Amino acid sequence: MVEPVPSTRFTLGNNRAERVSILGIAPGRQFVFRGPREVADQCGAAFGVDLPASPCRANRQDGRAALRLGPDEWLLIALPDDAVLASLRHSLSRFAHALVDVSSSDAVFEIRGPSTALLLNAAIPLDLSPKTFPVDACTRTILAKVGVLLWRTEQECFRLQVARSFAAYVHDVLAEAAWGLPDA
Amino acid sequence: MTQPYRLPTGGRIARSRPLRFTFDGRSYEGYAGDTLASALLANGVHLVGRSFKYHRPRGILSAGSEEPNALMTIDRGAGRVTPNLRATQIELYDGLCAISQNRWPSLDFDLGAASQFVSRLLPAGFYYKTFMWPRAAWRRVYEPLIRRAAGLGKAPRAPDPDRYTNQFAHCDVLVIGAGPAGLEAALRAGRAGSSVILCDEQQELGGSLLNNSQAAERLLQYTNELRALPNVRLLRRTTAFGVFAQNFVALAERINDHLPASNKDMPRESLWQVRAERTVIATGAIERPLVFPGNDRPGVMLAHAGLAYVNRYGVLPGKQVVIATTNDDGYAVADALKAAGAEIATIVDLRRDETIAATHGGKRISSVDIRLPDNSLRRIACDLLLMSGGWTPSVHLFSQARGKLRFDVPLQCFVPDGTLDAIECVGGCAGAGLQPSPATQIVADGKSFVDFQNDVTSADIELAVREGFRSVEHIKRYTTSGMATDQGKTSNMNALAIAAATIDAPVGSVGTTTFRQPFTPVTFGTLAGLSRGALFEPVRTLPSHDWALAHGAVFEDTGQWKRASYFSLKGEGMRDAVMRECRTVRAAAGIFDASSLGKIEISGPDALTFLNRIYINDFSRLDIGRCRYALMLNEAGLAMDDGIVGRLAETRFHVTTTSGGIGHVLHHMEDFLQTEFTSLQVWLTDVTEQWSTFAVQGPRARDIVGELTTTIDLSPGSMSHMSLREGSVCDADARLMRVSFTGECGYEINVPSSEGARVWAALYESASRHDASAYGLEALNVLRAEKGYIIVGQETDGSTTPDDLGFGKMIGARKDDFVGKRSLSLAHLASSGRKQLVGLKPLDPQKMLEEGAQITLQSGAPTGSHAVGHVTTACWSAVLDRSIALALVENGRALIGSTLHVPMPNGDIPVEVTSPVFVDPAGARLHG
Repeated sequence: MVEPVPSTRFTLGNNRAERVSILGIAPGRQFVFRGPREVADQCGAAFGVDLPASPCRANRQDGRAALRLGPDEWLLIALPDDAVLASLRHSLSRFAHALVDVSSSDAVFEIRGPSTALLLNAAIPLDLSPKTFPVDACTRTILAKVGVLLWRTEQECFRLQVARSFAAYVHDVLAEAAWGLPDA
Repeated sequence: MTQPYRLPTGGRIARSRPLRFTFDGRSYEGYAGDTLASALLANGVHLVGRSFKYHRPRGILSAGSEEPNALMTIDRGAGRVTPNLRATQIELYDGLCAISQNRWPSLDFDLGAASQFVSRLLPAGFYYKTFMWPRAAWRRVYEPLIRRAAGLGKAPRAPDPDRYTNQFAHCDVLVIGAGPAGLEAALRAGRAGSSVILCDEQQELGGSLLNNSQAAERLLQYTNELRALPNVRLLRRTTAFGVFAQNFVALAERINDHLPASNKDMPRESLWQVRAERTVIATGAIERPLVFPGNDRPGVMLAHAGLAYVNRYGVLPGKQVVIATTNDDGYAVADALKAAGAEIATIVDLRRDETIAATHGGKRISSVDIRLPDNSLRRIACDLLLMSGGWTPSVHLFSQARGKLRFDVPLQCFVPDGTLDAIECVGGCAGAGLQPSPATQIVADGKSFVDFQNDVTSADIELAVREGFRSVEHIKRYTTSGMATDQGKTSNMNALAIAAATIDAPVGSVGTTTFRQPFTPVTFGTLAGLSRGALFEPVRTLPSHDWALAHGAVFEDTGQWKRASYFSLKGEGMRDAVMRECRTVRAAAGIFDASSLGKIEISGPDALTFLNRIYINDFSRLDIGRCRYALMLNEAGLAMDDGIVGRLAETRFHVTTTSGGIGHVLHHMEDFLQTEFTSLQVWLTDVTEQWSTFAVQGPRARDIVGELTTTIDLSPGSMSHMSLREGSVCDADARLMRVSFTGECGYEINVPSSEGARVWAALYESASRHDASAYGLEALNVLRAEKGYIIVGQETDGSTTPDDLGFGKMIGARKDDFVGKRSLSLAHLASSGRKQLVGLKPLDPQKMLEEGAQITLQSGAPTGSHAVGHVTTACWSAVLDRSIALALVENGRALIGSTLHVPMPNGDIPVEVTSPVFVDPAGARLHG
């Protein structure tokens, strides 16, 4: 698969490389599931990861993840070689729902390091302190002038998705912000 | 000797680090820790600028951000020339280059100063009175003249080479101001474990403690403890310049302007956008000047500025000092200056019925006339006059946050009236610890300045009241008092007091003017932040972008997308390239990257019902594997967007929108689902960027696509016009639609975007083998116009119905309802005389029409004649080799065959009204 994102590790000036790194990664298999709660439970059973009940939270298991992004909307993420879609379609065929393959929609960045939240906050207005945005918090939000999906996967690591045509813009905004990153 | 006014000891400057700087080309020396103002004073320089209106010589009034006089242009190289900076805030660095402003030819000899001798011709509001006639002269003569004569520094001309950044931040407590009150508030919150941001506009934390040589140890303890707290962020050189709704505070951090200009490996400034649970405003208070004749002469200074120069900067601003005060603070300042070696000539205590009647001296004060209680005058020689008219709390931010103020009689100023929900004022800005001060004695004869920066005198304010102005807001606007870049920090209270005294009303009832952001000026760069240059607007590129770059594409912007306008081969011009592309499509085939088309996957048991309600079409008989051109109306019955609806399965549809339409179409659909059609089980997913879409159009399209797929039967019997298949193209999962926007047999290949670039390259190879080529938007526009296919937004303008476009028969007549249906029966949409889509052929086939041109029934119609229509698309048809156009014309379909006129500046262009379909009206090519 051809990745839309520069997948080399981005070098930051001013010895800031230790503080944060920006890496383009493979999006993996991604599906939007939309449907009523009962069907979401069926979907979770078939997917092997419960679809979270709490808004803006992610559940993870064995390389698969389910992110609740709206009242009736979840994003399912699996590894690139995971052929789960067919079995999901089969398990859900009797239920009213939407299951749409969006594996190619987004570019994905992994941003890692002790100053990750500080860097993201150059362009994302949300409070990203661990208290209000803990590990496995996820949300759609804006980064500078584009909509993104943000998911905190570790204390010091975020996964950032953006529609692929915006990938270069997001990369360049983060690079510029990293250059001017304030002291931690 | 350098720095003749530098004290041998004391101050917070680093005497081990001398720095050179220039002022108006002359070289001086100062120390690290100096401001430009303190360094100039150390060198005995008091004359630092000319005033705005009268070009009067001006000195340094203050030692802080309230400075109205000492405005400088700082030159840091090309594009880094900043005017109107306050010398009292400019930190000295080695090589600093400062230039005075508003003087010609030089600061010492200024021709504009003659204006003060005609000042009786320039009273308050003079520009409303004097330059009224002749009317036309205002813009061309008077205003340019006034602008040249009055004014401050010049805006830089070169582009700003600096970079700026932005930081959003959240905290429990934001403390604004690091004086004693702010430091204590930050420490309390920090010790309690709250996340704290403490910002201060100065280079050092401490506020008034910096001016107190006894407080150095206490200050060090404070700052050491704060630095050790990991939950406290200290932002020096950071001005809180605006408070907005919900405790949102904007801070401007100056990052590198205090460093030598060569240091560019960091942003110049950063905008901090802080959302705090609680904000503590500890911005202190500003000393009030006294209003007396000649109070603007260089060498007249605020008393506590004098204290700051002595204690903080180790500079003696004068050796023979007169102090004029309304409060006890003046005496403390006298003690400090005396201790530093100055001679205190006298203290004029206005509470004893003494006052200053005049000042003397050319470019620096040399003596003052004191009016004694028995009304006699006494002249005293001096080189420094320090004045204290009491204190004005800095309530700017509290007031911006909608905090109420009340007038405090003992302090003679406005103070916060209570607290706001999450915002409190502490210390001087709350009025705490300030010396009471009686009402300032006002001496009006002579030039007694109130607003130094805008050159407003007490007489101007009295005049405004005499001319009938009563509201302080009107007086402010008429006199321009408080409207300069310092926003009247030193002048507002005095102006209010004079206005109140003239009206003969208490100051509290006269009220105060509003406080506006920014507290001090903020650069545009800071406000723009990261959004400059290439990052000003996102640039979206198509999967074929790199290929297109390498194949001569000339791009055009459609929204944020870069799309190929045409492909220039061997240096072709636009017209040649477009015509070649058009001919190639009709003769062989062309490929076109249409990936920016909006795409929505619509799923759910009620998807069909939903589509029937959203579009005018009836999809009830749309079989799986078929697609249909569809038109969407808004509730007013007017065309909103169009696209293709394809049925993937019983309950799944692939729907396209226009490139720019995806956002509002998706919103429109979701809005109806969530508010009107709540019982429908339907879900929408935006798949715009999931699929790359490539159009293949032309008689050989089938051969080209056929080389790329083995899983889909393309034969006309199997896959006729308007059908849809899922399969694989170039081994990628594909949705293949047989659709056409050119009138030729055509396909749109949808493949996952991750495969887009690869499939495009394969498609181009295959196309090349069939004499086909890529085409751009310009050719597409010609090809679709030749077929009379509309573009929403071009043939529609927000007032166009389906019938206007000739789509009356597309409306599902058997449908109970759809969005816009009821509106279509309203008289103004259903009556005759509406503009209808037609084609136009200029009688002279060489004559090009202009898009947007009006159309009249008669030739030579005079200006103001009724226009029966307008040209929506005009182009040169390659295949017809003539000029054609589409137009909306009243009753146009009934006029087909007749001649209308397109009036242009060079005369009418007569045109024949035709069917909008110029090429292959029977559709033989389309279905071939």
